[in-house]
Amino acid sequence: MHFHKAISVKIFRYLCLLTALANAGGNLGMLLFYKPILHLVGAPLPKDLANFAFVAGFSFTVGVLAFMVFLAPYKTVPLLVVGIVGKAIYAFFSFYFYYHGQLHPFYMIFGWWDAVYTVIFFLFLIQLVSPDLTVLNRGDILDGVDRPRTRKALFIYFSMTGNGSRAMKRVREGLESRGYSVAEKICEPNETLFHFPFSLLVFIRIMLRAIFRVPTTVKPLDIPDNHPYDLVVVESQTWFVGMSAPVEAVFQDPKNKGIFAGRDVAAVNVCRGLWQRPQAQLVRWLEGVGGHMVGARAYENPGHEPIRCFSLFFFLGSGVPGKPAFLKNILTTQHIGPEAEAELVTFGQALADRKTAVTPGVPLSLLPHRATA
Amino acid sequence: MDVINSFLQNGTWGPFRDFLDLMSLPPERIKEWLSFLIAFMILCELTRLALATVFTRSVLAHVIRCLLTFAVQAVVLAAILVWADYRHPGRGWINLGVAALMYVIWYLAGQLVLLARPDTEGADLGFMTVGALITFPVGIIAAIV
Repeated sequence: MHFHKAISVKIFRYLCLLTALANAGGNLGMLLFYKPILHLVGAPLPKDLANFAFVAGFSFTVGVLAFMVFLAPYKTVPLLVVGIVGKAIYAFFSFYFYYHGQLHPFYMIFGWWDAVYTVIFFLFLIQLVSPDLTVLNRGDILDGVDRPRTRKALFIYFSMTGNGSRAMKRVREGLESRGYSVAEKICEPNETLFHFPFSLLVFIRIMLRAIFRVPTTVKPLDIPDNHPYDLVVVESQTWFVGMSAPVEAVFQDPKNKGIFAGRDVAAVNVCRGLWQRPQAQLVRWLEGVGGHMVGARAYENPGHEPIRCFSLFFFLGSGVPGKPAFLKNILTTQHIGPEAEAELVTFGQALADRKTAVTPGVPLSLLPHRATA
Repeated sequence: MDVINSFLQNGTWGPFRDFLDLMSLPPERIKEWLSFLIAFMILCELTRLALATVFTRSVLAHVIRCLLTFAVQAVVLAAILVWADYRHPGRGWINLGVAALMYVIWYLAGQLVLLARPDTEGADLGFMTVGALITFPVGIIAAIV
């Protein structure tokens, strides 16, 4: 995956402070000085003073909301959603009534302000949610649980087209190079639906089930709760924006909870391009069954869009890569590239070398940051 | 009963009729529908990306994210192109240009998120192209017929 530089939390916080001051201070100023201000800009006096005061009061409230986000962004994420809705609606009506000639151009300052802040709040929201995944995607390997290391790892995955097993082979290489032995458990769906190559009808069925998250079941993994593995690595592909049903089935079966509970766990995702939600789903499942996240990696297949997307469709349709033959030279590969494979070897090595936690799940370097978050 | 009748008769579909009219892309209201369409494309993409890592077990959130991957935007734009051509014949090709502009806005909105989060997918040009294969053929047919 690509990990690039982004606008810092600090900048977003100060943008929140700016709108807090503008909303709270500005509306107070408007209420106190609306006559001279409106006279100055040539706008008519409000026909309904009560409604004018109500709107100013509401806008003031949004200012307070923005100030609370400024003070403690990670603790006030839902407030940002309220801010997005409030500002978007205010902007919408400002534009609507302005275009209908019922609003003086002066009020469009607020309309534009709120339109821009709708986007700013959205971006801040996207930055703030699931910060733990950002830590994992940055490449950090978190400290493991404080329990004896057996140097044995268990892989659980389901690979329909071979991309997943290719990725896990590299993680295995990394772990084994650091003295780990690896056992694999391939998920075997009870339904015959999940096979490849498939017909168009089967493809549509899998697609619809993936979209509506229809669960499936897999054959028992037969791994006792007191198994000897100190690390469990789970791999999942992207099936229509979500994690694959057979892998999710492992977590949906309560009998498998003991495999992960209290153990170090890691997640690997491979896909065409949409890795973010399947990764979040896999990580949350692993945490949900009591696993202790120590690392996660997600990789896209190489190539440029849109040909990468259509290469996947052709591959799924024909069942073999490089078809149709006349497009062979432009179709992209249906597995992760050499760079990703090399990184997965390193990932395996880093997992093998992971430290034991002082504070479970949190590397020492992150403790001060997490404390304020 | 009189109260109910009075209540129903004094209701209005005005804003919805006006909205439908606006979505026919009337040439005299360019700024209005352009603002609305741009806001629609940006909000759809930002919502899609905001849903990437949250509500991971919610079917509703997942379906919404799937729909916002390309279907909603592509189908809505296609429907607008047909409706606009029906209401204002002869502007089909201009409206296709508007649709192309909306795809640019869609892409830019997705890429904008890269500024906010270091680990995000950004715009999905692949599925946007799939969306374009819905919007533009429909728009071209509407423009020709």
